[in-house]
Amino acid sequence: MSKTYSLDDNSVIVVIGSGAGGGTLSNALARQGIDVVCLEAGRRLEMADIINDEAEMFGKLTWLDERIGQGDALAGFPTWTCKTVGGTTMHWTAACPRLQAHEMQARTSYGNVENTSLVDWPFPLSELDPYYDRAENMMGVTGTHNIERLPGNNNYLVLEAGARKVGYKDIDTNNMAINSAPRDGRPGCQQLGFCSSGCAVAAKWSTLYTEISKAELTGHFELRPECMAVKLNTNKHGRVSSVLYLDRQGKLQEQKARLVCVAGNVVETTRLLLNSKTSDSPAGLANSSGELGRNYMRHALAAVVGLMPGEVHLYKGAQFAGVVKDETRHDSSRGFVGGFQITTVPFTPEFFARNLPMRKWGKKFASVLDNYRNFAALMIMGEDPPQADNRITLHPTKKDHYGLPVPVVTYNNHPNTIAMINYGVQAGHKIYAALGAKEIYDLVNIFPGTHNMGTARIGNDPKTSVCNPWGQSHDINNLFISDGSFFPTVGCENPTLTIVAMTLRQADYLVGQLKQDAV
Amino acid sequence: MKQLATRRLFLMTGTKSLIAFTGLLALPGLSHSAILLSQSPEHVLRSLIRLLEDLFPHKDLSKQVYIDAGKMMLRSLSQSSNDDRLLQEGIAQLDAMAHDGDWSALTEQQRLSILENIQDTTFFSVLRNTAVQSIYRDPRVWARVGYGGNALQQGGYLTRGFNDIDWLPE
Repeated sequence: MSKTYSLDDNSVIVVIGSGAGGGTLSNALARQGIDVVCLEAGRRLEMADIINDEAEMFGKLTWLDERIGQGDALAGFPTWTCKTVGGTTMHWTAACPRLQAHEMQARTSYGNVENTSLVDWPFPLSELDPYYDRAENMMGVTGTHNIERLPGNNNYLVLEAGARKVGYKDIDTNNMAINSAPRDGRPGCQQLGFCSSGCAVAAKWSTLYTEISKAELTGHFELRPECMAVKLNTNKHGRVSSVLYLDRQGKLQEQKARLVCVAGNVVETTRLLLNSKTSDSPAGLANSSGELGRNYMRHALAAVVGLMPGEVHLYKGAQFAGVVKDETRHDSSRGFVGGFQITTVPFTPEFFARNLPMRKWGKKFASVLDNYRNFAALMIMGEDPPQADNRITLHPTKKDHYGLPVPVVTYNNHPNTIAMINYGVQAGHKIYAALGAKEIYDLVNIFPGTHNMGTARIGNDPKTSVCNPWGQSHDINNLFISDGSFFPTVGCENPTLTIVAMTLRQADYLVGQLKQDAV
Repeated sequence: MKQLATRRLFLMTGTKSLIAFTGLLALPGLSHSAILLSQSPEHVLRSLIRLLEDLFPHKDLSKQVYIDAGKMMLRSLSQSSNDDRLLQEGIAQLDAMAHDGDWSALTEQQRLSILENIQDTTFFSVLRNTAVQSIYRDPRVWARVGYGGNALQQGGYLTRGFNDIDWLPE
């Protein structure tokens, strides 16, 4: 049963955000009897609200409040994140690779790369492995814990055949948090193909109908949807004492708190902390290092589209259930550090009509689109090295409808990223050319940041990092960061599994700290 | 899957391009009111439908698709006086480049050659962006190009060919 807590109950833990980090952490704490109030800016959808219509679901799921992009970030839409209960676990495609050991020691593995702020994680992969195990089991990740992999769709079968022809070997339908058979009260995948519009049958793990629902059954959890956190208050001891938020009527409320965990996805997490500055912390809360908002990372992203000699119908089936892993290694002879994944990706006719790099009207254009059924597509997704000046800041004067300063996302591709994308796109060409593709198109510099990481990196040194290795603020010990903001480096893997593993680890630490009354 | 982000970008650039387009009208001998007076709603719709056919000439696609898309665009553009004006002025611009003042009545070759000349204008790109949405979200176009759309309604692709490819090498 769901509980309610009073605004002046200062014994509760307030979690801000209900996605991969916030949803996971909420349930991990509530099931141990710890009282949690979760503030979520977005609306709570019912299963019947999730339909197979990209345009309508985009409106229901997406964070559309103004954000300004600068540099290589798209000006009007720099990041593609969600504003709904479940956060980006509604929109995600559910690919769950683990970070690799060498990626968690990026500075050691890659050496000194000019104009980066590469570091090693403050602990090795072996420290995270048990939590990866727990996360995979909790989410039902295929290819782990004896969970069968998903069958490959046509787009995968094309990728696999082409990849084998050019000599790649490490190819499968990926580790997916999508049920291949019924599990944990959710059905198996029906191969609908609308993964990124929200899974209408709940075969894909999303906190909306897993961690959040389970937390509500504990009797130690209250979800408050449509409640937008605007400021953290601190007391004279320098501890966080309450959270100011706007409720669904737009009324300002103050929830007292014993401890606060921020999981708003990097842009909102940074904005909240910067906006909570005080005379003691003029640069923003938890920002004595000056590192808050810096080292914003995405992934290197590009797509390659092949017009194949036969029909593919790339839209049918689980969207990202297909990966070639041979290029995820570090091998600087390729002309860049770090690696990249090659995955399947589907696009709609409208997307091709907008983005195929050719003259976008006329007979030739229409005849290319007439062959939509013959298109195959793959995505290049690679490691993005941290750079101090890729960062989230607040606009000095512009305010949004909440009255909050508009976030500014400044992002520029590192030369390493450009070299990697060029190499990756060529690799994609070879795959489709090996199967006799008639035309091959590249889609570069058109994607907003869907994987948003960094800005509150973990580390041992309070001078160069925002959080300790558990995501606890160096400056304020009852303030935790519980989303992708804590990544010091990102590897080339989709971030959600790591966010979930890290928040499970954080929950264990937090419970221990609470028991000892240390926070 | 990410086309919607682009749609939002389009909406945001729309206002900017309007300003740019207004500049385009500063052509000698073309007074603003003279252009607008020549536009009847029937003429605008006829020109718009012709434009859609020239932009997206899909083989074996029913004329009705273009007519419906034209009507839909006209409805949505007329809801904003800025967009409405952009459309009226754009068509007036096309007509001004036609010898007898009616672009839509020209031969295909003549029409296309005028479109070539204006394809870099903001009017053209704004119009094209709106048109893409009208045409490529139409299930009749999906059926023509082979996109299945709403899988849930049809019971998912699990039993409807998600892995039925038969031309790959062994």
